[in-house]
Amino acid sequence: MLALLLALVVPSDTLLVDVQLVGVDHVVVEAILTQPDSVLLLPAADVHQLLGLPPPTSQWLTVAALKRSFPPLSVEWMPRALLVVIRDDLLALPASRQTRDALINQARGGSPFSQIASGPFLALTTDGLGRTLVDGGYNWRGQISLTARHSSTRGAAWTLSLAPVPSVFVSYSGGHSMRDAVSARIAKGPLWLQPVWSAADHRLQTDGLLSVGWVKLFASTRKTFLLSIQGRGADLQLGRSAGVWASRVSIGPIPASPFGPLGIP
Amino acid sequence: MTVLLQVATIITLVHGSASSIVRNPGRESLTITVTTWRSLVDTTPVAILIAPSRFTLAPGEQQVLRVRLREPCQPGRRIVTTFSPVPPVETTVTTAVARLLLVTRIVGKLVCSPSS
Repeated sequence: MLALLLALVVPSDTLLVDVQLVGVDHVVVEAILTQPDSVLLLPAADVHQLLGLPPPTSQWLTVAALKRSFPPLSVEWMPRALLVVIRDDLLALPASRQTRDALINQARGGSPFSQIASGPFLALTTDGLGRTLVDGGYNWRGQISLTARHSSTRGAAWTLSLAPVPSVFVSYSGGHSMRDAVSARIAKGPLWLQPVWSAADHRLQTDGLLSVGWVKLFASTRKTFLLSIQGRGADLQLGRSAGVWASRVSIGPIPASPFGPLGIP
Repeated sequence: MTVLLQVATIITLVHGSASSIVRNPGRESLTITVTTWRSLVDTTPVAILIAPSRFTLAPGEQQVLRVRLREPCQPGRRIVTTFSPVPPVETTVTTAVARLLLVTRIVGKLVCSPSS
């Protein structure tokens, strides 16, 4: 309300300000700089949308008000650069958590060849017991990779991996001492799926994660499930695996992994 | 020579928006005003938001300038940046003083990118 009064009563300049949520996204908004006290008024609707917050009740938002609403945030207004930089290292904002979750979903069970450079590769591993492991192959832009591996203990194996789009990863592997296996990872929107098929038992095992806001449900055909409720600075988890119930409460900047199973090793 | 490197002479609009940097490489403070012309023979302003359209830069300072067009992008539009020295405040002079102020005006182009 005070911001609206300032905008209506006080002489002001209209500025085009780039509001950046570091690591997530940015938006250029038409802001108002009141004179002579130089209070920056940001359009609350645009900023709330950037931060993943519900629609605001007021029209304008000040940097000071944003800091008061979210103390963990670092908000810096740089007039010479027409830039407002918001850092959310503690993941207090929904947009930050969504970005973090999307990255985790894409990385978990995904391609190990995330780099975009193409070319052949070779790796040699040895240990003090005289065992050796040789990895070699070719990677094309992180989308197609063919790997051959020879271990002095397990023999030869190979893997063909495909990641045509970031949300899909498929891997087919076989070898001298292992049965053929196919695994995939699909991470799209709130859904994460990882089906695995092995010629050893001719069974299809599937893990899945569904994220709706602060609630995440992990379930697996291995008779495992995990319910995670991730709040602001505190997480609660309840799960069951191998016939055993387990729960976990965590407080502070230690995000709980929603991927099950939950248990005490 | 301080005129050089003060402002971009060509600003490309992408989807009607652009940003640039205005510098003051000189040794005195400058007041800068930015406006637009429809063409070199028509100095009617274009419907555009320039932010900030007037500001002061101390020696060595720079300011980000953003523009957002309010009308369809047309070729031939000009962006006009005027640099005016800030007169020094003389408190010890008691006699009449003649002061020559050199105002610099740079007329640049507003170019529409193919996607705008």
